[in-house]
Amino acid sequence: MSSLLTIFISAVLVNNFLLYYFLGICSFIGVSSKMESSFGMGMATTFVMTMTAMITWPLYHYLISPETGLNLPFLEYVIFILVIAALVQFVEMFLKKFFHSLYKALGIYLPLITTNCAILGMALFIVIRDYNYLESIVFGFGAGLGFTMVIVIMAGIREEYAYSPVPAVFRGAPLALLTAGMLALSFMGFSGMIAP
Amino acid sequence: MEILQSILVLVGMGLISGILLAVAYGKLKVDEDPVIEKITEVLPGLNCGACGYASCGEYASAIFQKLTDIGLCRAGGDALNEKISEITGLASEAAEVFKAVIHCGVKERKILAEYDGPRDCLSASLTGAGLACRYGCFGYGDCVNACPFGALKVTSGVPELDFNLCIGCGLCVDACPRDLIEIKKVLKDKIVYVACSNIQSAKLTRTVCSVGCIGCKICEKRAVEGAFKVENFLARAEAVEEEIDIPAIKCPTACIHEMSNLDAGDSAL
Repeated sequence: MSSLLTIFISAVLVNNFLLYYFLGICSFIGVSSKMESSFGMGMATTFVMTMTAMITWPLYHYLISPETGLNLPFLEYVIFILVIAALVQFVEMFLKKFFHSLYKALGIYLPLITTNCAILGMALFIVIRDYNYLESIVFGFGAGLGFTMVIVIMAGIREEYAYSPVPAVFRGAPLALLTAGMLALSFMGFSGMIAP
Repeated sequence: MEILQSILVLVGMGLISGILLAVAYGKLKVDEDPVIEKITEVLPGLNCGACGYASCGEYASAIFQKLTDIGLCRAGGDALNEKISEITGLASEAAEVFKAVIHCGVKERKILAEYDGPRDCLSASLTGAGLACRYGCFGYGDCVNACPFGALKVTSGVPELDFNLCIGCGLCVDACPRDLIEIKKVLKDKIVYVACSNIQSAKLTRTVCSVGCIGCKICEKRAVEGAFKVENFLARAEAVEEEIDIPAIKCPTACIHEMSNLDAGDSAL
């Protein structure tokens, strides 16, 4: 039980995907200008991450693992991307039907979740760290929540920028990158929380 | 053996996810009217925003929901309106034509100091770039860069406007840091405007520019009633139906300009 909690907190705060590994920066910068759409993006990513963890774990262990499966480890990337792509398609359909405004606000970044390296990274971490099924689900969910939290914090900060006299050269992406860097620095404060 | 296994695994995975997605699509399908797509196809797709909608797609769905008139696209003009009215069956009205005019007519700038800074108007406007005229055009072409239609061209004087290419979307208006550009309605295939924005008194305007409006009010007196209005030592042309004979006004600094479809360009008379 304690190891589950450790994995969860590690994925959310200490080894945050955005600010520790710097994975998934594309959507982090792209969709973090509005709180509402960034929360939607976070939720979509969390769903895809959790489902990916749930589906890829058995696929890896019973299909492609060298020890327990058919010994096809070179298919790892292809199969993971396939699962992620199918899930993203599903999320896209779901959002288009039930949250049309969010679907429009996310625009191209929604299908781009497919190529979001945070999700593939998470699936690969599960394999590398040899998590069991429950651990990997908790890890996927925690990673998604961490992603959501950071992207919403970022959107909150960037919304405040709209009222600030930002010099023209810093407007947009430069300020977003500076902010991301400073956020990452502050998240380094968590790094001593969990003993290695 | 391995190759066969991996092919089977991939094909199986693809089939399973494909079937699952097809089932999900059946449940979650959103019906979109093909008319919207048709309208979007005939729109220019430039997303210039002159119609008041963020993109051509949004404008198309607004037309479809009958939230707006169909004559708002300035890039397409009458030909486009006919196409849209064919598709939707809505009546098309004659499109109003708008063009940008630059309220400055400088040919040779009087300079107080050399300017070494970045060659763009926005940076130049921070310091004034050493120009004697505090209201005039810098000529670095921020408006030229803003124009998605290539209607503006940098010259040694004020950027030159191609009357036929300009559709009056107004993107250059936002780009000009000195607010020299205005979108004006074309009346009888031409636009009359005063190419100056200097609101200083006659003496001060004269010292910085030879073609600036000095606010002498001659145009008010000699042209048709209401065609010009002088305020703050600066004349502005108003929209009037009557013909304005510019040479007959004899503007002392020749800052009344006319643009028309015929000569496709800016001509000082």
